[in-house]
Amino acid sequence: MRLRAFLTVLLLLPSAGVLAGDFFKLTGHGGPVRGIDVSPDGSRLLTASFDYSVGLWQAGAPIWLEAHDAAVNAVRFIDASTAVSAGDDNHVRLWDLERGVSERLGSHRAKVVSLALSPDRSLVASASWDGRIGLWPVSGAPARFLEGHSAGVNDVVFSADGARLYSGSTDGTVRVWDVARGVQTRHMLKGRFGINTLALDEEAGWLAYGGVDGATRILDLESAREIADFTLQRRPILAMAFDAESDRLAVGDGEGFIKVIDSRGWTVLRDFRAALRGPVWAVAFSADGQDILAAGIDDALYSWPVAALGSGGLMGGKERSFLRDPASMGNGERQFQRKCSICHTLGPEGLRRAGPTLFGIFGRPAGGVSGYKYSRTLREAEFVWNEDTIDALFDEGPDRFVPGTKMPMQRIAKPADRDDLIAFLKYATKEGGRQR
Amino acid sequence: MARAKFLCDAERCIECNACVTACKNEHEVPWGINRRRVVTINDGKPGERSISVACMHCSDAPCMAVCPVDCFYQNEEGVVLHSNALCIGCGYCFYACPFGAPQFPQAGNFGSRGKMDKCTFCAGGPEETHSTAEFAKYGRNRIAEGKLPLCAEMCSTKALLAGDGDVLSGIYRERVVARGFGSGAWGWGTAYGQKGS
Amino acid sequence: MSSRTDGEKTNRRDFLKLASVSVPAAAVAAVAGKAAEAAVPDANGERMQDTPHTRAYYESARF
Repeated sequence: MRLRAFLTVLLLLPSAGVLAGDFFKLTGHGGPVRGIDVSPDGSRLLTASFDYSVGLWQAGAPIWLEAHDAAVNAVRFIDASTAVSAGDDNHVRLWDLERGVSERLGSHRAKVVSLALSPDRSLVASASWDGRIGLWPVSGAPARFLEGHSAGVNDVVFSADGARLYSGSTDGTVRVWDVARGVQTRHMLKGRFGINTLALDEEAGWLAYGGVDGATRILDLESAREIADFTLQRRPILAMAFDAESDRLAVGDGEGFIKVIDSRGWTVLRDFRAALRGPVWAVAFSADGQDILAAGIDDALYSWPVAALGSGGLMGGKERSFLRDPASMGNGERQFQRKCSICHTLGPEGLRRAGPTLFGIFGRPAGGVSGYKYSRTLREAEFVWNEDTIDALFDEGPDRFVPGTKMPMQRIAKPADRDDLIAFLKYATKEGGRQR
Repeated sequence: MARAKFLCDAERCIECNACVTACKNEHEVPWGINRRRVVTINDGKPGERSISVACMHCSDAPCMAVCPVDCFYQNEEGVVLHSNALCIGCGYCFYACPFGAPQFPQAGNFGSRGKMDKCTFCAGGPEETHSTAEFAKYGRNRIAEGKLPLCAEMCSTKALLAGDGDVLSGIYRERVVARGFGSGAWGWGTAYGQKGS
Repeated sequence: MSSRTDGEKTNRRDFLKLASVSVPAAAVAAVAGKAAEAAVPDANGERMQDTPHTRAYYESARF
């Protein structure tokens, strides 16, 4: 049964009929979505988000996979029941999708921003800002690391036979690695600007790269010469996806556009504004290649038929609590909206965010929201949240007050600002208080 | 009105790293953070040169466009500044910066998400001018002291220039005329959408 | 969105003290002739300023 048919029904979209290729939008994440993957049979999706969660979507409904201690940047299906994810916590995790549990395959020394799966599905490659590429056998055997880039690695892609790996880095290079021997065999490109994303069609003999400076170029695999240049005045290029069936390359950029390129004749099929505001962080094709899935600043995944890109709705239209005009609020609320609301809600409705809801926080034991996956330090904490402890949290900073917390650095230096924030929270987090 | 710019004259940089050291000392930036660094361009080729790189305070700064929380702002002279309090350390701006300027310190021993740090053109940030808070978060505010970025002031060969863009391009033009060649001021086209020479 | 508010009037005096010791003597000497035309630094300025210090710097870059 077609996934899209379910989704259309579930999401009650304007279209009355259940047609393949309709626009749909998946909401539920509590932060920008940075990674998208489609299951081999096309029936399920995986999303990786700033809210520290992986979403496993079936028939439009999510199952939340929680284990990362920070934003999740990348996620890939290995097969129908296994997946791999990685994020800002430096960890690479292997998921049992049936049971919703994961184990840590291992860690980089800095955030992991991209993952690739070998064609035989036995090996995962990870690109990390520690400048290394990790090679993780799905069997759980020890990882190997490919070293050579002089700055963070942003993307990796396997050759069709899995023998070679291509990597793009902030150091401006695209390198080719012999996977079995674990050595670099080639320097395909050395440019001035960082490379953010790669796409590859070995059979057709090309590699596409997208750069910080907006570079959108296609290189011949053999000669490393440029075949085509789609660079526009838009930068940076942030995401690329290729569908081998339809020979289409999708390119998402920092200014919210998605360009669809036909790799047979190297022509631009479509160039459309996907986001009213903000960048396009992720693009993917549906299993049949007929839809483009994308995500940006919204906490959502969007899917448009290639034949009707932009139909149904665009990204970035939602008003964000943390971007509300500061002049429209008192100081306490302003502190909350601008500094806290990206990761915390105030109400009892259990909306997803990177941090737990602050509903009923006064008098609540630390680590006390059921269902939220706390760090060990909060699980074992033995204090209660009140005016004093909240004041201390922001006076000292979470990294000092509760060392080991998943909460990022955030100090509020002025006592008056802390007082105003606490006063605001006191009524906003009460039953019947202002809910946002 | 003047437009604040940096100009990197790649013909002159001798890779002494005085700019990097000056920046670190002046602003007391945390360990592991380099707001400015010296990099080699055209590595291994005949045109190999060194240049000093930091935030160039771009026109239409791409970091501003991708920040999810709008923590960046640009002052009337084009200096790109940011609010440390609003930054959530997501790292998204790093994907957008052609100069690799945003830096992300690891906070504490547990690696909790830190705040972005970058060159301020020695113009401080959104705190009271010359206050302890401003210094702690952003470093010294030399612009308000009637000075210019220390990195450029300390550059012995004056390969790195900072100040009013019109004055800098005038100086650069004189140099190109005097020496009879000039490859164009490195990064100007990328940063300011125009050629430097 | 700059929020320089309450402390705007601070320390002009302190600043001048600071400025007088931190301008290198050589630089001051170099521009002594022109210094009279340059404005006195505005300690609250958000813009680059025309001061003996900045003039000396621009001069030093012309070689």
